Amino acid sequence: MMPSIDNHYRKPLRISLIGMDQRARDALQLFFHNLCHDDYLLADDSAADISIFDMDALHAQKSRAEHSQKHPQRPAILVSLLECEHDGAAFLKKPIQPQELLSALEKIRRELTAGERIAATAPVDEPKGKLPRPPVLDMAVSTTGYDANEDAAAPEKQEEELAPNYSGEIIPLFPDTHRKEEQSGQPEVVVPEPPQKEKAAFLYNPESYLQGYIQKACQLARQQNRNVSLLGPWRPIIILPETREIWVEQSHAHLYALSVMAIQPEDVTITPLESGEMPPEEGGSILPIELFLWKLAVRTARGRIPVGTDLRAPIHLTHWPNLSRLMPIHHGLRIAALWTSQPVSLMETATILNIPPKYIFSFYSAANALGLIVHEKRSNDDDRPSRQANQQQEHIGLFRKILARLRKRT
Amino acid sequence: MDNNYKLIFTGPVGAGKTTAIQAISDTPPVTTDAIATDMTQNIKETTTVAMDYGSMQLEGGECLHLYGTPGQERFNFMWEILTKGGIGLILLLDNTRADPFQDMHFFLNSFRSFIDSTHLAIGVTQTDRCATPRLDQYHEQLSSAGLKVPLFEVDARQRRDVVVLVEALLFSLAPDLKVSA
Repeated sequence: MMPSIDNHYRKPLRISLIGMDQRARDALQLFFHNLCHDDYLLADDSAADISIFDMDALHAQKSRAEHSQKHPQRPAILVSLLECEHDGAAFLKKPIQPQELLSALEKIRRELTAGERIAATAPVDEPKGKLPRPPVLDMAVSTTGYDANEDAAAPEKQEEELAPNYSGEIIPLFPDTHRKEEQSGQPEVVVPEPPQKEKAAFLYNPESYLQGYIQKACQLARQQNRNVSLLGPWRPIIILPETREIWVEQSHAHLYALSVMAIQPEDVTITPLESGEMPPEEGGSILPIELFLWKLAVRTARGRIPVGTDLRAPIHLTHWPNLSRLMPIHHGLRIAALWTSQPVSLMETATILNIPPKYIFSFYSAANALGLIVHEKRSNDDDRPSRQANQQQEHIGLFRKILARLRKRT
Repeated sequence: MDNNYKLIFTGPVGAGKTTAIQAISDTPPVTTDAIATDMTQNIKETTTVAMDYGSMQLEGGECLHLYGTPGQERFNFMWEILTKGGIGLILLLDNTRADPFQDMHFFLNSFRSFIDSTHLAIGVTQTDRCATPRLDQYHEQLSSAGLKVPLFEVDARQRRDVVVLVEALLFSLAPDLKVSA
């Protein structure tokens, strides 16, 4: 349950987000807009009433210190995967629970109101009642592949009827332990399996999200070989098993934005349609389920893997995904090549390819959503990757040059 | 051929071999097209009778030669010559043809020893004009032939698509391959 919030008139609390990536900002903005009715608004740092710090960001401590000097009276909420020094500021552990976030915000609001510190006239990013299109929708759209067409779609109404008892995690940010590597271009040693305490941050439950409900609907559609309707806190969705397509009334971008919100099962209805019953001819759009689900899974997973995934169990792909059309994942071709050549665990993959686990986890989650992952039992005579003879070693230098040449002009 | 390597493009008439080579070649490809006089003229005005040729200059003075085989079966005596010393095979299939699976098996059989000693990546073209067979059906066919190879929808006119296909071939040859910074 959400904390009780007074309904009498009050000004929106203006919030400055510091150290958060665009996706986290988008998720929070969508959350504040759709579920909190703009009681909270993102604002420029100069006009904010409160600051929320992502303490897992680069230079977070420095930013926090500088900010404290600049705005000594401004309340702050710190968020992090691990407990950190918070010097009396409110602290929330990731993944942030909406109830906890709202409780912390309301507590600060009460303190501010008591101190009469909320400025009545300072400008905010987007005035209340004037949020026709949360930025999340623009920012979340990839410009690759079929997404480019989404931007060309006619403007849509943005009012969303989300479940009033919404209670999902909203910004389970993946610990970006490789940020330094990405900036410097110098690969670091792959992060070892996280300790149990942190492990939850690498896991998510697809069943709690739109992704899981789409997968269930697809399964039912396949089993019954009938179109299936999926109703929930979104506009109607219909699965078309015969053509392996999905019809959505809502913009794709908005659905992808919903991907990070946990949805209660009682708010979702999955119903087989009467034989021959089709989506309306006007409105909505149709696209291949594979493309939609892959991207939705990437957006939902955000560098995590489904709960119950064994990091040390060998896996392989049933076949190559259609990587010329699916949403690109960094190192996706390399991961697919490895997983189609031999059974390898997720941890071994990180070691062999020497890439950050978040890319491997994203690829795993997307491929798993499409049913491409096969788990294998390890046998004693398994040909371990490190021992596998590589007939192509003599050509490695050549292949590298070809890759470099191809990418130079891409 | 010490510093010269070959990448082979093959596939039936009209699958986009010439166009794909054109998409990644440093220089305009040399083609040996002739006016089509057989059934091919129903598909396109000219057709490749010997080979297509393009090239990519690599760092260190090396060169990757891009060879496209002629599409018609009667020129298949050229194929063995062309594949000698090749690093891998790109097979392009036209989804609008009468029986793309038959095409695929024909080329798999024709190049089997070359595929077994190197690797294969398959691009299916014209899927916007004909959605079936679907890629998963191609994979079923490949599985029955004991192959698990990269298979993507491709528009041979799009350089990005051709690059993805070639990259997939290279990573299949060496999954732990890294790109230098």
